[in-house]
Amino acid sequence: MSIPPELCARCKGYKRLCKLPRCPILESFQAQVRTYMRLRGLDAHGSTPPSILVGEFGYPKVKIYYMVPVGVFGDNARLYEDPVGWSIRGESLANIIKFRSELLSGEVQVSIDKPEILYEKEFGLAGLSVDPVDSEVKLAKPPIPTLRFDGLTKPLGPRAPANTIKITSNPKIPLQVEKIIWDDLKAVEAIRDLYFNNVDIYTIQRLLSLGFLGRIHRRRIVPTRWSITAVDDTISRILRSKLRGRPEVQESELYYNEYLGNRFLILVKPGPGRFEWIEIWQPRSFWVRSSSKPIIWRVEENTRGEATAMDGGFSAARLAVLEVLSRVNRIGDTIIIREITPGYYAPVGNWHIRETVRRTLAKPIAKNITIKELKDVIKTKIDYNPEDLISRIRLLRNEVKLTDYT
Amino acid sequence: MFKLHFKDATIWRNMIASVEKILDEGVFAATPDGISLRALDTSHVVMIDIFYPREAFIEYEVEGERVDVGISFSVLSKILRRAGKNDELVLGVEGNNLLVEFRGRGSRLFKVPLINLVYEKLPEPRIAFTVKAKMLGSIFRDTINVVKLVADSITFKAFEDKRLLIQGEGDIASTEIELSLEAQTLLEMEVESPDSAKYSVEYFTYMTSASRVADIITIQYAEEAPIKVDLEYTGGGRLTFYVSPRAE
Repeated sequence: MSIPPELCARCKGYKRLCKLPRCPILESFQAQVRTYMRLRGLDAHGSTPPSILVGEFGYPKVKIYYMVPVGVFGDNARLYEDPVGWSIRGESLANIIKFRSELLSGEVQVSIDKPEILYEKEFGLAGLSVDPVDSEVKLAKPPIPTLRFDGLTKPLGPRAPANTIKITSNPKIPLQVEKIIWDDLKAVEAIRDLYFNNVDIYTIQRLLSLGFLGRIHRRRIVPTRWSITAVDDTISRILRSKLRGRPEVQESELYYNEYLGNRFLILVKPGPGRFEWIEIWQPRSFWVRSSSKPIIWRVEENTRGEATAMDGGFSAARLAVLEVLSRVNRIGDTIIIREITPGYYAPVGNWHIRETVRRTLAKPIAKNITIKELKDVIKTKIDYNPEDLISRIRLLRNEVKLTDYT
Repeated sequence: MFKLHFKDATIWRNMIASVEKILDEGVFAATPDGISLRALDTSHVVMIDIFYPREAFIEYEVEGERVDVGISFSVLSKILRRAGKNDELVLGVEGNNLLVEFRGRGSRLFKVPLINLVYEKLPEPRIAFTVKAKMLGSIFRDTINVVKLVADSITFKAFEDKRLLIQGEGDIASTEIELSLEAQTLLEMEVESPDSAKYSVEYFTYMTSASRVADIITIQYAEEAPIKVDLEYTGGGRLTFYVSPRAE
């Protein structure tokens, strides 16, 4: 069976548009990656960074993967799950894959409507910690040495069912987090509180996924990939509503950056607050291996935050843009071009989009540029015909306004 | 003093449900003649123009020249969604609140804070329309619902023989709907020149709730110019949308 690469660029292993139970691209890829294991016997000791993944297969009975780097303790363990740090240091794709493959997972099956179990068993609390937490995982059988990939979450290393998981040091839980998990607050309100108290977004995602947020009797465990986009979208909605009625940015600014074989060219210009997301998948890049020409995927979002498609990558990027606009308290139209080169040979989660866009927006490479100048920039930065690309961008077209008719 | 008593709450419910999709907030101006609202969306692509004459109300009391009622449409729409089939609607102002009351089986009263907004009289767009077509609300709604299934743009094409062709062109599928006097899907049609124009279908989908309760819908457009969609309601009420053409 052949699957059109256009479908894969849109799906990214997430929506299973090909209707196969598991993504064949991911399956064939994971077998090629070697895992590194330091485990002898069935007892694994180490500090979780923290890194806890909630799976989605079998929902509402899902698996929780509690991850420890075997034999690595304290601050040294932080490296194994550190999206912000990885991004700042410019960690290579090979290194990130290596870290993830060294994380051993103990699996526990839980029912999503019983989040209190994670609390009682204490290991759920490790997920709230800002520092690594020493843990002991006793496995029921030797782990399978594979690495599993997914478009949204970080790769998942060798894993085996766990008999017991114990934490042996105290999790360091920030005060605001400690307070909020006992509040009978809707999840949306809790996320707002945490975010404006500067709790890191990855901690909020973990809190939501481990069932620590929401009205007390209605809490649920949420699969990690769902919680990632849920948190991105919730915070974006909050930021958007705060920006409503603010003045527009005064000049257009162009930004560029690249990381992990992904290039981002971002234009923020005066406008009422719309988004346009254009992905260019180069031939032989990850999801479109079989394609001989670049594949384009696009999402548009209007001023009310209604998008033409759900896309986890777009959600992550949009959040980073709205954060910057909120800082200057202005609205604007944003065009994000993401080019994926064959250098991005393994998907490691959408965190890198969020973090790269955040860093990209730190400093513009040009201001108030004309279409012609933009064409020249595209020529040097993006491997795609500039005329064709610009003609595809809706937000660059001359728009007819009703005020022109009075 | 501001008191409006209206026979059928569901009309306002559906009208505001459409307005809410386009405007966050706005000012109704109530004068001795009737109540009106004219506003542009944030991107200046859509304009909304409402007028409801005093004769359409069972009771209409407005003190002085004009009373301004600034309101958040998302809040108002949430409340109006509670309106049932046989409910009458009574609007009033008390202090800094808008009172919304449904009278049907018993009465339900809501208080909504008014927003302090400055009333601005916007000019009406001046467009020389070349095509005019009149149809029933249900036909308009069906047409939009079909086009939005397959396309993100909608094209109107008029022919001298009083036919109106509505096309939707999508990435995968496309659609074509023909309305005509002959098939009695149009009530009236005037063609000055056989023009065609293209718009984003998104804005038309916002009109579907309002068109559910409209008696007659009139569209007017010209080549590469905005379209005007008039929705007529019982008692002489009118809701008008102007939509800018799509830039290609």
